[in-house]
Amino acid sequence: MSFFETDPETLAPLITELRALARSARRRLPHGETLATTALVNEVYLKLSRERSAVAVDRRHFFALAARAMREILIDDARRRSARHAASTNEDDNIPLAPELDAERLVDIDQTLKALADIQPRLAEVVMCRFFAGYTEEETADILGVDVRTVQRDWKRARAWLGELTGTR
Amino acid sequence: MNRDLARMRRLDELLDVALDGSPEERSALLKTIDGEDPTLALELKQLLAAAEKDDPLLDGKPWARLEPQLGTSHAAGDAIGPYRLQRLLGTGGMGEVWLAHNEAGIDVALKLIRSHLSQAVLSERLRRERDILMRLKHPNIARLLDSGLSVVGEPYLIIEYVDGQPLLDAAHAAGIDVRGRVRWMHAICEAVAAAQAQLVIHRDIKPANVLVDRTGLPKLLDFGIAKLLDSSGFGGSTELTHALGGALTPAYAAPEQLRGEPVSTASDVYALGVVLHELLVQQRPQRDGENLLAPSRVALRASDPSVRQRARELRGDLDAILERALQTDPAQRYPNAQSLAEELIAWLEGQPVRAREGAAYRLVKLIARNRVASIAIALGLIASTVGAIGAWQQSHIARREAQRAAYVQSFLEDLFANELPGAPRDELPSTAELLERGTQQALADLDAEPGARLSLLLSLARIQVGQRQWAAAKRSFEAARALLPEITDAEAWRGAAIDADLATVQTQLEPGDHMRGVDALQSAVAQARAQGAPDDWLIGKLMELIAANVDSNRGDTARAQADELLVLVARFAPGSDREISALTQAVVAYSHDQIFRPQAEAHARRALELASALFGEEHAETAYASMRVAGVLRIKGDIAAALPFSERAASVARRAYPAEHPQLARILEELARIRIRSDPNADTTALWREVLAIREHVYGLHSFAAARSRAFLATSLIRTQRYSEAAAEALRAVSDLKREVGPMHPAYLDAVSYAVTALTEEGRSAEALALLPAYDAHPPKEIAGPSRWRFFELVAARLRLEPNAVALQRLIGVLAAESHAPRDVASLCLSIAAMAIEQQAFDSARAALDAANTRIAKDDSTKLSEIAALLSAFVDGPKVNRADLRAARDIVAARRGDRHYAVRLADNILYAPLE
Repeated sequence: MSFFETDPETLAPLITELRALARSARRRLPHGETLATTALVNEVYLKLSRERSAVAVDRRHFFALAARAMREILIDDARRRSARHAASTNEDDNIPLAPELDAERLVDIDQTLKALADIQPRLAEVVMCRFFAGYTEEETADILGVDVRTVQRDWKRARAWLGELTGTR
Repeated sequence: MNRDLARMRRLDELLDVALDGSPEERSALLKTIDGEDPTLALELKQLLAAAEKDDPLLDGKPWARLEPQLGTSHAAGDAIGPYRLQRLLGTGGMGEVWLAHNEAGIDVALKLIRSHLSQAVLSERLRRERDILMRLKHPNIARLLDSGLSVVGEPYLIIEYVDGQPLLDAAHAAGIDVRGRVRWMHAICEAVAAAQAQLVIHRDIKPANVLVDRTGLPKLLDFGIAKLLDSSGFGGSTELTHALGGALTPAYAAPEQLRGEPVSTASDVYALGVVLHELLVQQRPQRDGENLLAPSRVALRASDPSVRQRARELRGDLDAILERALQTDPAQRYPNAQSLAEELIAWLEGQPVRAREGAAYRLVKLIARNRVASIAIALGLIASTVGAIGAWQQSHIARREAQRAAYVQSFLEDLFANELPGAPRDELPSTAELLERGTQQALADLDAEPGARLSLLLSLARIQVGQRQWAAAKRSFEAARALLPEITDAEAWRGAAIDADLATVQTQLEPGDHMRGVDALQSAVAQARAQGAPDDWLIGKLMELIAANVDSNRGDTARAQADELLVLVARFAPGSDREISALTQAVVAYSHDQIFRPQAEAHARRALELASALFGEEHAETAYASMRVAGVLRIKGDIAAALPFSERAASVARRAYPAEHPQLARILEELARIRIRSDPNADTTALWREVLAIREHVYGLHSFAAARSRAFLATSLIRTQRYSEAAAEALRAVSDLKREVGPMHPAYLDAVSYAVTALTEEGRSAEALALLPAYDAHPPKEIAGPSRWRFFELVAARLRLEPNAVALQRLIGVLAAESHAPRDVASLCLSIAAMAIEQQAFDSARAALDAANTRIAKDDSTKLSEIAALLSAFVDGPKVNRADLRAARDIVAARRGDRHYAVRLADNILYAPLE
């Protein structure tokens, strides 16, 4: 399965669900704790399966798609931040806040994913799962159909490539 | 870092090994690489350093660090466009809704559209939908007032502010009875019906989308927004759409919506049914398998006593209404909101409901003995024979329709003969004029029923399409569409059918925006189909769509549509000439991709069978079908099988087609190609001369088509060693092509190479050199396709005529760095290696062979590896077996079609004294 071949528009309903759920989950989170994204995806999956009892939803495939959806959400927000930051007219404030810097870097990373996929498709897939979606090594291995060791090696390499190709500002 | 992909992949492999090993193994590896390629070692070191470096972003969880904005993005007092936000009204799946003030201080609802669709896509869609949505004026619709883009590029909508509560809460708070609830529902249905008349489908009807204001008026929100954010298209459902139901709120979505099938007015009816159910019984519909549990029964079992009390009123008619609205099969439901609205009124007035009646509506009730009507019938007949002429029709189908047009002309002449009494027959005006006149007459007749006028306009439009008068056709279709709402018993699908025709016409008027035209056509056809369009119409449209999708490279869609088409035709008109056309389209769709070719062959053969049966052996249709089979077999590689079909096609075609028909040229061309593949020594010059003559006549002496045929004639002359004729034809082709398509087009470059070959054989090297690019010429970076390596081939040709060791080395270096078209580059490198051997430049030969070998796949079936091996043996080893060399020569000759160079090389090698 190639992560870049899905028409992003078909992810629309999934993204909507994820956002909605994330929003309500965030409200319930004690301060300082981070969102467990896997649990989030799982909830959406369960909700789906309940509503669509007539059709079985392939779990592995769904999680892979969810990874794509999560990436879309993150990148969308990152772009928004960057744009808003660029549009701000406060000339005194020359020092961008760390989140804005990170947002730009995130967009950069996203654009480098294609290059990564050209080198080896699985590198990009591992980045999607481990980084954007926040799945564990085991979950990633399951989704991609490889063993954990392979995921670890791929992530190390992907990380090296990303560091080299995107650099720091 | 050098971004060459092959290099990066190599680095990646090394990186994997390095990261996986111990520190000692790592430094040993680095040392080894450094010895061979210091730059590579450096790059590897950089990568390793990047792997070790701490990176809080990459090592952390971006969700934690970035906190994607799930809360509100704005605060009270913010300005968006000319509006100022007051307070947040709510957040939904689609974004936030704020109460805002406009410049005049008036309350509006400002809805920020939060969607992951790119802003470009979304604003484009907004622009398109905006006009339609802004025209929706109805007391029960919250009007769209404006739309825009904020400074940071967020799309927003300005909607009439409704100060009220969501439907179910309002009903509960007001404590209204069943009749009151039905009255509210009726208002909502009227709103949806008004929108449907404007061809807007809501797609996301649910109680949360209905607000009841303080005066008790229900108002429906979010019209068409769902469509903006959605992307359902014909044949485009993916597993995800399938899984998620393609709807924004699955609970209210109709079953066909959940399956990802196209949405129609009946889908809205389903949602309305769910809302009505919930409004009456306070629960969503309950099913036992496929069967709906009677709402009155569900009410009886409710825990809330006020609900139980309603059960008696619900029993009977309301049960039946709900049951019909909630049918799983859209064809069994009320076809649109209007009919549901009427049903509810009937209930309120105590009238018997029609829930049992069938839902068939007819387009035109024929008025007896009225002249307008008879013209309408006559033109209606003509229109159906002329059929759905699509702009993308292959010449084959268009040709048949053109034959019919002649029939149309004579029919009309008869029809209008008494309009122009006394005029001699050959002074009658053209078809178009007759039609215009007749149509205007009819339209001017004030008694004409709108249905008859519609029929006339459609007929006129179709014939204008047939005459390729696109602008006029567009006007006619638009006029027809504007009439549609006046016709109360119009069939639901007619509107979508007109949209489909408009999409076709639009593509002709705006050929640059091809893809959009195809999409528009597809969704219109899907809509019409969902609304009950007849098979006959669908067949024509599918054929059009297939051709369009093949043109747009959407192989999967085209094939799926081809399958559907064949099923339809088999049901509707088996064994007919329509089936032949359908099969032909299927062949086109299936030939597109390699793995589907067996099916293409099956379809082509069947089409031939049918053609023979229907038209006999000596008919143009049969010839064409025979050629199709030959074409498919040739692509498959089975030349021996292809040849007889091709021969048969040609001989019949010569007799069946008029002398200078483009189709005949096509068939003869196919024959020439197949003959050569079957026997490289065959003489095809006569055939090519025929082809050339036809194309000169049809397209012009110096046209692209004629020049290209002339170039192929030149090659056939070269094959039979008539070099001076070949040179003459090739030079003419070169100059015509240069003018028609420019010096970078593959056709031009091919022609140059043929000219050079012929001129060289004639000893006219100076002229040949004049045509060839300079040694250090490079194709511009943007040229990436076949032109690229053909260009290099011409540079190599120069080096053959004027050997230059330095330039040769440089050329090989350039080729070695090329990342495009590996097989073509490999073939070229082998040719250059052979040339280098001949020129005794063995180092260059080795370099060229290396460049070739890295590009030849191990399982390559084109014998490149054999040639490479032979050439290597010659470079590195002392003696080569002559038999092997002859074999190599034959392989090279057969593969490259340039037997002369190969022959010369091999002869030199063969007959030179061996050490």
